[in-house]
Amino acid sequence: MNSRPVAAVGVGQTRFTNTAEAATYPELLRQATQTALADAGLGMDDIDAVVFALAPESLMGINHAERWCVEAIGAAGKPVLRVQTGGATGMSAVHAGYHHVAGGAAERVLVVGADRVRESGDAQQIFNKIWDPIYERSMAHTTISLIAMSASRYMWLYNSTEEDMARVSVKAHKNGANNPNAHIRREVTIDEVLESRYLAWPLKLLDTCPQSAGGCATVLSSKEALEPSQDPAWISGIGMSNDTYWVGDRIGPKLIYDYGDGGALEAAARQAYEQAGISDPAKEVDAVETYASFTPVELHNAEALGLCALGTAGPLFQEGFFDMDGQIPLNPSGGVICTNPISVTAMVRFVEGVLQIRGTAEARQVKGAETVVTTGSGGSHQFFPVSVLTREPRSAN
Amino acid sequence: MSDRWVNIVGAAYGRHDHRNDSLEELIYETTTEALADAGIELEQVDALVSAGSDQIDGRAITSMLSTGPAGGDLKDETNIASASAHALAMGWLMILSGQRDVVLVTSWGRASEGEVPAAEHLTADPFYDRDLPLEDLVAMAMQAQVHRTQVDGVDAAAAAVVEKNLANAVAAGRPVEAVGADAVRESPVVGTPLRELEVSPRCDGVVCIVLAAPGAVSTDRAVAIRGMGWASDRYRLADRDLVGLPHLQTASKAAFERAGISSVKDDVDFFELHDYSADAELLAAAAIGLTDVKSAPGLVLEGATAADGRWPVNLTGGSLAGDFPFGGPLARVAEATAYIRGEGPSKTNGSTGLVQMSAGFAGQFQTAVVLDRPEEA
Amino acid sequence: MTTKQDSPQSTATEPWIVDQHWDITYQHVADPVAAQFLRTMRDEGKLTGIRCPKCERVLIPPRPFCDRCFVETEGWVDLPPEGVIELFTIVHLRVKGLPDPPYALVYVRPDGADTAIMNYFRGADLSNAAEPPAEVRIGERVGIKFADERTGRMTDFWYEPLG
Repeated sequence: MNSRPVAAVGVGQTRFTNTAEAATYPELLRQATQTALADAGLGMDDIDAVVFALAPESLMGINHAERWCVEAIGAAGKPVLRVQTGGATGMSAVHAGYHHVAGGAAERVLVVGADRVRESGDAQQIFNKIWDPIYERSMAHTTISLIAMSASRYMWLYNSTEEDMARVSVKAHKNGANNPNAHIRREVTIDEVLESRYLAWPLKLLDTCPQSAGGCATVLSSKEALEPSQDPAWISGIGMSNDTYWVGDRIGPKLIYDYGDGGALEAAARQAYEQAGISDPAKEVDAVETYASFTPVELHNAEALGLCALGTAGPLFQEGFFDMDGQIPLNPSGGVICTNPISVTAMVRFVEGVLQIRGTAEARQVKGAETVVTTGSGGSHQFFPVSVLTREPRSAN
Repeated sequence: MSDRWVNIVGAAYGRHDHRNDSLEELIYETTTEALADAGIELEQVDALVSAGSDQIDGRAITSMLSTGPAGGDLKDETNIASASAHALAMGWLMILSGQRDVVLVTSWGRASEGEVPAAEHLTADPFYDRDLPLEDLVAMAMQAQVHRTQVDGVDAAAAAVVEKNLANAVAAGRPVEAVGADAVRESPVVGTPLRELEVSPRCDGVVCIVLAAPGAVSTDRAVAIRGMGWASDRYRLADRDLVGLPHLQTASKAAFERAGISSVKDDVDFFELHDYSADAELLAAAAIGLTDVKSAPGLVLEGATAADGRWPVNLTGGSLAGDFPFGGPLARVAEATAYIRGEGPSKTNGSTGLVQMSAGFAGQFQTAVVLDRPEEA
Repeated sequence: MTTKQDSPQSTATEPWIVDQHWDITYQHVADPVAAQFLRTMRDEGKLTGIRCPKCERVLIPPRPFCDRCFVETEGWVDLPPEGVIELFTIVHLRVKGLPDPPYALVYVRPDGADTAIMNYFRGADLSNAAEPPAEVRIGERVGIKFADERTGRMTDFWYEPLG
C-alpha cells in the first residue's frame, strides 16, 4: 500500500467543561475551527474540504446538525460530509479526512466537531436507545453497564482487582491536572476512587468519564501543500476494525475476541503498525493516547495494543510502567477519564498525539516522543479506529 | 488526482412500500444480492461504508446494528450520516487513497417504521425554526415558489416532468400508474405551489454498491466512476439561492473536471437528476449546465429530456415514481450502472451518465457523479 | 474562551434556555426468527437457539443470518432452562426513565448454546454494592425462569439462582 503521505499541520481544542458552562454548539465549532486554522497558518479559503464529526446528535439535540452548523465550520460552498460511528467518531472523521488527501481529492482538509453531552440531560438516557429494539432495548442497559460487564470479566480472566482499575484513575487524574484543556483537573487518591459510589459493579464514579462539552479540530495536509511555518505530524499508519454488535457472542467456546479483552482494537492496531513499519510496539511506541472512557478499558487496551502481554497491565500499572515518567506513558492528557465530549473524544486523542510529536504538549509532554499511537472506540465496545503519528513520515518496511 | 480510478463492480437495491421484515433482514438481503451481482464472496471485501440516519431508523447509533447485516463485521467500517451520496464519496476516496481495494457502500431508509417528517423537523434550528413546522415538504415548496415566481412556464413544465417520469417508470415495470399532465395540475396542493403528484412519494428501501480498484475483482461488467464532486449550501433557506443552486454548480463542475468532460450537452448521454419535487429536476438540469434556469421548462416541454430525447433524464422514473428516505438517491447510481451495462429496463444511446443526488432541506447537500464504461475512464 | 455569559453581544447575565422535545414513535418490524423465538418463549415457556450451518454455532439471541459467516441460519435448537453466567454487572445508577436500582444485568449462555443472552437476574441480595452476591459471578450456573403470564417480550423471562 503506497498512499500519499498525509500530515496534521494544525490543531485546535477548546477548554472542555460542563455543558451548562460551555458556549453554544456552533460557537464551539467555530472556536475549534479558528484555532486549528490559525495554528496551521491558514484561512478557510485554503481548505479544500471539510469532515464533520458528530456522534449521536440526540445528545446535543439537533438532528443532522451538520446542516445547521455548516457555516460555523466554514463549509458553506465546500465539500463537506459527516461521520457518525458513536464514540469512535472523532477518529473515524480523521481517517475520512486522511482519505480525502491520500486519494488526491483535496490538498488540505479540515476535520472538526464538538459536543454538548448533557444538553438533553443524562447521556445514559440516550444511550439506552442504541441497543437492538427486540432483544436488548427492554433492559435498563447503558454504556456503563456495558463496560461494567467487560470489567468484571477481565477481573475473572486475569485475577485483576478494583485496585488495578483505581490506579488507572489515579494516573489519569494526575495527568489531567497537567492539561489546561481537560474537563476534570483534580487529582484523586486510590482510597478516594475505591470509596466512590458504585454505578455498576465494579465501576465506581471515579472509574468513569465525565459528560463534557467542547470542540476540537485538526487540519490535514498533503506533503506538496505544506507551508514552511507548519510543524507536520505524519499519519504513518491507520487501521480500523470492529467486532460483532452482539456482546453475548464474545464469550463461549467459539468466540473470536473475549469480551474481557480489548477486542478488535488489536486487529486495527496491527494494520496501523504494519503501515508504519512498527514490528515491536512495546519497544517502538513512545506514548499512547487511547480511548478508554472507563478505567478497566485502559488495562485491556494496553494489552490489545501490544504494549504488554494479556492480563499483565494491572501489575505494570502498579510498577508505574504507564506513568508519565514510566516506560510507555498512557494518556498523558488525562485521557477520556478526565474529558469525554463524545463526538470529538477520539479526535482529541489524535490532537494530543500531534502535540506530543511536535513537542508542544507543555506539562504533559513525553520527552522525545516520535512515535505516538492514538485510538478511538465506539458502539458496543465495537468500532476501533487507530492512527499512528510519527515525527518523520514512515512506511511499511 | 491520482491515475487510479474506481469501478462499480456490483449493485443491488430494492424499493417497496412495506415488508414484514426487519431492517436488518432487508440490509442483509440487498447486500447478499450485491455481492452475487459482483460475483464475489464477503471475504474479498476490505471495508464497509454505510450511510444511516439514526432518527429515521429509530436507533441512537444505527450503525451498531446495521454493520453485521451489511457485511461489515470484523472489517473496516465507517458510517456517514450526512447523505447516502457522501458514503459513495467516502468509498471512492478510500480506494483512491490506496488503503482499500474492495468497498461496500450501503444505505437505506424506511418511511414505514418511523415518522420521517418528524425526524426532518428535528433538523431545524432549535431557536428560530423549531417552533414552526419546518420540514422537507415546506422547504421544497418554498423553493418551488421562488422558482415559479422567477421563471415562466414552470407550472406546465413541472406537470410534464411528472408525466414523463411516471411514463418512464411504467415502461420500466415499476408498480406505478401513468398520469397525464392535466391530472398532475389537478391534484391537491400540498404546499403552495406544489401539488401532491409533484412531490416524490416515500417508501422503504435499501441499496448496496460494490466498489473496487481496477483489477481487484475479475469482472467484465464494471462501470467506472470517472469523477465525483460534492458541496454544501448554507443552512438558512432565506440565505440561499434556491434557484441557481451554486453549490450544485460547484459539485458538478468538480465532477466534470475530474471526469475530463468539457461539454455537458455533448459529452453526457443520460442523466439521473434527483427529482424530490418536479421543480428540483428542472433546477438541477440548469445547475449542472445542461440548460439554464429560464430555458429548462422549454427543454422539457419540447421532449428533449424524454427517454428517447437528446438528453434523457430519469430513465426509470426517478424519485417522482417513489423513493426511500436517506438512502434513496444512492439507488439512482445502481440504476445508472444497469443502463451502462446494457442491463435493466432502460437503455441509453451512449455510456456516459451523470447522477445527481441531494440531501437536506431543498437539497442543501449536492453530489454529482459521472459514470461510464471503464474504457472511457 | 468565551462562554455565553460573557459574550460581548449580550447584556444578560443569565443563560436564555429554550426547551425542545423529541417525540417520534417507531414501529420496528421484527425478523421472523426473532418473532418465532418470542412466540415460542411466550407460548411454550422455553428458549430456543438457531444454528449457523457454516460455523455451526448455536446462536442466541437467534437471528436470521450469521453475521460472522454471512449465511442464513437454519435449524432451531431447544434449550434447557439452565445455563452459565458469562457476563454480569450490578447496577446502582439512577437514570431517568429506567427502573430504580439496584438490579443485576446478566448474560447467560444456556446449556447447548454457543453464545449468551442478556436479561435480569432476580432473587439475589444486591444490597452490598461493593460485593456482588456469590450467585452472580462468571461461571455460576443459573436457572432460567418464565413468568406465568407471558406477553412475548424479553421481560417474560429472567435468571435466578439454581436450586
